[in-house]
Amino acid sequence: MSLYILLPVLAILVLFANLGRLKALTLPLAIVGLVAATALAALGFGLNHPILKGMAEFDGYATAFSLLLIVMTGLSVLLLATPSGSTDIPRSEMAGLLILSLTGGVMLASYTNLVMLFLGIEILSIPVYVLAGARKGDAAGNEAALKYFLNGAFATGILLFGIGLIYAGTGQFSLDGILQWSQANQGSNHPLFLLGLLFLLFGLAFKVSAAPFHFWTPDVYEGAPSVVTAYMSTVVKIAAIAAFFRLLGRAFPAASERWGWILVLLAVLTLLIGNLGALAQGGFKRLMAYSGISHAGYLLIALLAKGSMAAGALWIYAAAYAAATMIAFAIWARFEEAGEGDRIEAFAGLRSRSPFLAVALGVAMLSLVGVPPLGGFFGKLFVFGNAVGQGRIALVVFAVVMSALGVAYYMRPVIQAWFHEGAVKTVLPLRAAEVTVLTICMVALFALAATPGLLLGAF
Amino acid sequence: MVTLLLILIPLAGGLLVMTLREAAARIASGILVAVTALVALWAAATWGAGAALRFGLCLDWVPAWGISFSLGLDGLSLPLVLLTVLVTPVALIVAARREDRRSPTLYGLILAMEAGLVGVFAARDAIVFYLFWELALVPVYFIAGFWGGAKRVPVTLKFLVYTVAGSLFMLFGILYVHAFTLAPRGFSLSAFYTATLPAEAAPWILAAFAVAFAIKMPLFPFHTWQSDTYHEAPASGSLLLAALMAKMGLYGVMRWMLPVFPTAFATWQPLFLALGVIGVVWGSLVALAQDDMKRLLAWSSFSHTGLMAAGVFSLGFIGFQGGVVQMLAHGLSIAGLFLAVDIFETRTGGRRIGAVSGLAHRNGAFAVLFVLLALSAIGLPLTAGFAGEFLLLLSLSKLGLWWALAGGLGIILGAVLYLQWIRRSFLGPEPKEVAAFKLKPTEAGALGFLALGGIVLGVYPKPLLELARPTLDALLLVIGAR
Repeated sequence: MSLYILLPVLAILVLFANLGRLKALTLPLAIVGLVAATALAALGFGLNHPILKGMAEFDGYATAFSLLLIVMTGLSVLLLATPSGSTDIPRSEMAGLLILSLTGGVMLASYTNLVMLFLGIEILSIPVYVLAGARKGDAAGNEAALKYFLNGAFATGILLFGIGLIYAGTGQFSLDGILQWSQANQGSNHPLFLLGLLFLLFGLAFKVSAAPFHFWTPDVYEGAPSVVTAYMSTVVKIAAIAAFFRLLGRAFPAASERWGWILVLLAVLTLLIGNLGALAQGGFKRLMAYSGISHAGYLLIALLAKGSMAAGALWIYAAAYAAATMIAFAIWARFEEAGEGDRIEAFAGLRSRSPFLAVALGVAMLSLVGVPPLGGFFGKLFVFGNAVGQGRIALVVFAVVMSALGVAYYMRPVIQAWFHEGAVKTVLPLRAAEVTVLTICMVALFALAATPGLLLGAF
Repeated sequence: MVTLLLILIPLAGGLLVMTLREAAARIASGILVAVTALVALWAAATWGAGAALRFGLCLDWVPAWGISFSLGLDGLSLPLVLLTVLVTPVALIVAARREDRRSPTLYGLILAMEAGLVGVFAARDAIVFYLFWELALVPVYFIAGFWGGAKRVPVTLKFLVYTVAGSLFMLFGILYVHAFTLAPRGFSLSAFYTATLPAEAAPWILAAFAVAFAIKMPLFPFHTWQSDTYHEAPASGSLLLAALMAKMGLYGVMRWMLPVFPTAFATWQPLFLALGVIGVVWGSLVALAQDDMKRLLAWSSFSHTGLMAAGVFSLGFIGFQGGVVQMLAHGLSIAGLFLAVDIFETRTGGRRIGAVSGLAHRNGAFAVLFVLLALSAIGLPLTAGFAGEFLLLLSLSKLGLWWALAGGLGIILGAVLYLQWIRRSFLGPEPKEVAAFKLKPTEAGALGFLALGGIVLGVYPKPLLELARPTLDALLLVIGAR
């Protein structure tokens, strides 16, 4: 509950601080506020209490995902805080919008009512439409913002339509109510109900950029500033997948034979398009966009399993993916800022320009591949393990083949950074905020390996 | 605790070494490998009889999934750990002998690789095994990609994609077996040995493991990465790949494949035997056509590995014994030969066979050491290579004379190969373009140690055989072949 109050208030404070003479204080204020929110969320662990008359509930699941989202937003804000030669983006206003969007993310992790799901999606998305076009004079940024807005609005429409159909079929908005209705009406074969469920699935698939609803992703990721792309590919995606899992697990567990095959189909298609697409990319942000699509595929596999073990696996996968992706975009922000092109080849010679950045890039890419002992490995291990336990052998074999393809494209930036000499040889001086972000993410990637048992038990 | 030390000293030390300056890093890494070797030798010296696991360590890691951080040494692990800790110093010597390539990062990566290898041989839990399996791969990829030859980037990428793809299939196999272990499910070796897989699925899961191990060894037809990678990698990397990393595959077969899928393997045994034997003949024939020394060693190594695999696949006590002896024999001789090739290359300016001949006139001791190493590779009686190959062929001949004859053909071709090489490079008229040279103490020491080790093991293999016997017995009991 306190998060529902703290985060919007913080967002408003940060936005208003911009108007007055306190502009220098906005980013520190945002960071301090987010640290407080982290503490607040962590303190709430284990206190399962419904709030807002049963519209939301901060159970272990909601708390764990809220924590992840808050930390990832904090890291994005830290990236904004890095002093930069170019002042083409309004950094302090962006911090306020990020926190506002985070509020929606927390709602998506904790909702127990479809109305809250819709509100969460909207609060999460609308600030990001603005953020994607943060570079006002930039045509690509404007294109990204418009594309994201049109596609996002369309997806929200579908989602809302699905919610309406479910309500028409069941007379319920709350997840528990829908569950009770489908248990009472055995088989839950009501056509409105089934159609509504299908629309809900498609609407959420849009948000996690699962194929065939992925086509906006590369263009939007490419056009938006790196900080915003980092936020979109971590917080927005994870909030959506958290909402997805909560929806399926709490409201539709019995309908798994109905939606199971759709998810399998979506996962297979997403993995195929994500991985093959990534192989063909020459630009780093587009590569990461397709990487994000392929990881949406693995996350969809994680959705197939139910229960607390599955939730833990999903969290570990999402956390490892987010930490590695954050590292990638944090490093890329440097190249984008310096205008050194958008190709993967821009990394050439990074080893001699900044060994720290080169090591961080290597760790992030190896984690995305799934090399132990990094977090990405444990994510894959538990997600695949759950799927094998359910007997989805063919799906896992397919996912394994796709992971092997991942080696070929995730190594390309690493090869450039480590094995090639670049044309640009200027040393990249380290900055405090950037080092903090990269260190936190790298520690997290290793810490996930040390403590997966602890995390799995927290749900 | 001892086992953990064998991993932590090189791993933590390797990371530390990377932050030092070159001269300090060289000394520090030398001390670290020496300490690691001493710890392992102490473990060997205090070894008693019996098959029991020693120096075990078992910590809960992910209790909900039955994963425990479980390590330990037995009669199969210890010989390979000893090989690792004794060959890694040689890799460091090779890495440090070329002044233009000296780098703290290189030393650190070699140490990290040592940690990974020891971990692979000591792991008693499938997830821990997988973890070290990959930990051993990443350093050698960076060694080959960073310090390798002109075509290193595509060649090492192929190597990486190939091996990681294999590993991922193994990971799938591990997860599948886990789903069929007895309750409470787990990843421990004992859980895997008692898992009851559905009969129709077992061959496929066997294949998932086999692909990973076959790529690592490599076994025909998964060998296409090998010759290019050995050729492009720096000498220290090729040495680590050939002497140590190739053994991971065979060890995996003996520890994690045959005892877990005995029935499925029995059905497909002829196929596995055939792949091994094809490799023996194929490898030595292609090796005969090579004029680059590193490529020749790669193909000869492929041929030797084929014989080791075929002997182990013959599923007998003698074959397993032969596998253990030959893993050590081959590890020692191939490490020495890669060092010798690197010395040859730096002293004569190239490594094409026949470009320089009569090198024995310039340094007789070097020629003698080279011949000793080559003879062990050929398998001359009284060398370790003979002890190993004899046992392997004996085991094959029990399955059928043709298997043994095909394996023996490879040995004959191997003899032709190495004797020709000796004749063309070391005998003949004095080379005018090469001046007389001396070996550095480290070079002479390493070559001498490896050559001598091969002879000691060949003359008196009994301690090794006694050490391995109880464990091999126990493994064969699980397989049901005893």
